[in-house]
Amino acid sequence: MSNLVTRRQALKRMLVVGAGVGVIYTSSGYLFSLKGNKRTRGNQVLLLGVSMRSAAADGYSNIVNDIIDVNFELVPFDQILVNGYFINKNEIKNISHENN
Amino acid sequence: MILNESEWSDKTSYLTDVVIVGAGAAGISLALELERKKINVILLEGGKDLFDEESQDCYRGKVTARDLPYGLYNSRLRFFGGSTNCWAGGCGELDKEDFIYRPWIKNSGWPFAKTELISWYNKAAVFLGLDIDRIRNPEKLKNMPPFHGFNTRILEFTKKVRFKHEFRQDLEKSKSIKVFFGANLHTVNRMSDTDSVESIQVVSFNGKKVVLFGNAYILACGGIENARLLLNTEKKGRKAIGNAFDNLGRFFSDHPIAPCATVIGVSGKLTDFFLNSRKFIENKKGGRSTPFYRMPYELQKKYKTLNVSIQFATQEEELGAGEISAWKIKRLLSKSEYSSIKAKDIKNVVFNLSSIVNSIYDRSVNSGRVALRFQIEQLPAKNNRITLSGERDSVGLRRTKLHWEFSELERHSLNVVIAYTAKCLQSANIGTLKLDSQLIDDPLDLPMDLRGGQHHSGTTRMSLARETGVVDENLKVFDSENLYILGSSVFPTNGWVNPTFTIIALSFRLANHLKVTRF
Repeated sequence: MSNLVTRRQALKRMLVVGAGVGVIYTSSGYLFSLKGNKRTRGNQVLLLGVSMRSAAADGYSNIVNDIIDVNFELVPFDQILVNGYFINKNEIKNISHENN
Repeated sequence: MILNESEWSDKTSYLTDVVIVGAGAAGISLALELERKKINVILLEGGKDLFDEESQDCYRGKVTARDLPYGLYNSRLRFFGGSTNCWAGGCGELDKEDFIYRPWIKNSGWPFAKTELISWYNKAAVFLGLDIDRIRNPEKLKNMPPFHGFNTRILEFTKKVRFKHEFRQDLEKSKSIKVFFGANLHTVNRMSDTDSVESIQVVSFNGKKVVLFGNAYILACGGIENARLLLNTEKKGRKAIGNAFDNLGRFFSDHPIAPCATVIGVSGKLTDFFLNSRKFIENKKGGRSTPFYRMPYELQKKYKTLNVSIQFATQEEELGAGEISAWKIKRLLSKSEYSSIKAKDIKNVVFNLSSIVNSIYDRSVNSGRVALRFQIEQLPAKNNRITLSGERDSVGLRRTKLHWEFSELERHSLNVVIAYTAKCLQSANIGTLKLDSQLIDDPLDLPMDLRGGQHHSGTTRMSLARETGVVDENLKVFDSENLYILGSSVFPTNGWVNPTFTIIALSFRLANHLKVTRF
């Protein structure tokens, strides 16, 4: 089975949590504006159109752990694929959200 | 001596030492080396001195499953010099692991180790005016940007690219080489019950026929044509030459090459690394090379991948919805499956016309983004094969029908190398990658706008056992005493690297074998 299927499943888990804006903080981090394709260095990964709002009720860490658990074993080189962007799981510090 | 079709004498038969069919990179390099060994040669070119539609038309055929990026007609040339007439000149060696059996790659392994080819690679480098040390030690080159985590490789570009110009004088002056233009292989006359060749008959486009007798016969017509010509020797009640075990024409491979991800620089900027790794590195003799980065063998073994290499290259923007729909429609049209075209794809094309036009422009000038571009080995799969269609060319031979598709292993290998590249970019703190959306949407296929290397190989594969191949380790057809095949069609696996340098190394090795064993 392709690794990517698993990555997509992981991504899907993130997408199904609701609508809005979600933020993953990373230690070095990049700021991705997916729609505008603008990338500037920051301390976060911004996923426009992706919400962690409903995930907040369960605690973000569960979501992060869930994603990492899914990808940890099956995606090589500690990579997590988020909306096509490769993020190193070791760079993720925590996850937060913004309402809009 | 070179004889145009109109200059053929009235003789209807010739006797020589070695008859070579095909005057491309393989045939010309072999002929010149045999001349040095005092062996007489007749070199047959099916085409003419210049491009000619009547000759090129023999290359038309049908491709099923996945289209070849340039089709059967456009991905090779059929006139003096063969496909060196469109060759860029890139030379590199196969990796030593390409020659070994890798348990996770079915049908992998050459009959000999890379060490067997080293001296012939050296000779090929001299022939092409290349410095072999640059090819073998690219990390020592000045201005070579290393990419930590990958093995550095290069393609060194020879200036001796157009063989018809480079070696024309040598062939014209030669007293032991006769070159016939317009000499199309038509019939291979076999000896009794074996696959040994008694003689071959060639025909010109204006109907002249000549029979050639030799001590040895060499087919050197390319990765597709070698198989087609042999398949055409099948007669009622008799299998085609070299096809006792149904291996002839099978295991076709090419190099899948395409951009697959966009490089995202830190702070939105790309460092000098990406600029330098896209530049040609000049050498003192005016030659140049370009770097490739190969995923280390230890990782290939660990993750069970094919041999993969990458480059960072200026490429067009990734395909959007309109372009993806356009590619889907193009594929269906080429297969005449009109009823499978979806209204959604037509709508996408209509509403994204300007984007599609821009994409075509970007593609033609390779501009738009710095992309991760891959060039990978293909699994030697038995079902990727050349057969014959019912239609005949003007020489009277049945045309090519090629079935070409990808396995999960190619896509798996691609997934691994992309993730690994992302990790290496992150570790070096110079960026990360954004995967092209088409690859996210379709987790099994390779990019739709794939460009192949036009490096056709594998269809007359080399093997230690006649049950698993067409030729032995000396390139002699099993069950034949005097028929040899030369070219990338004998490659059991194709590695990631362009094949011409290895083809020429095999030419010199074959010349030596012929001298030692037959003359």
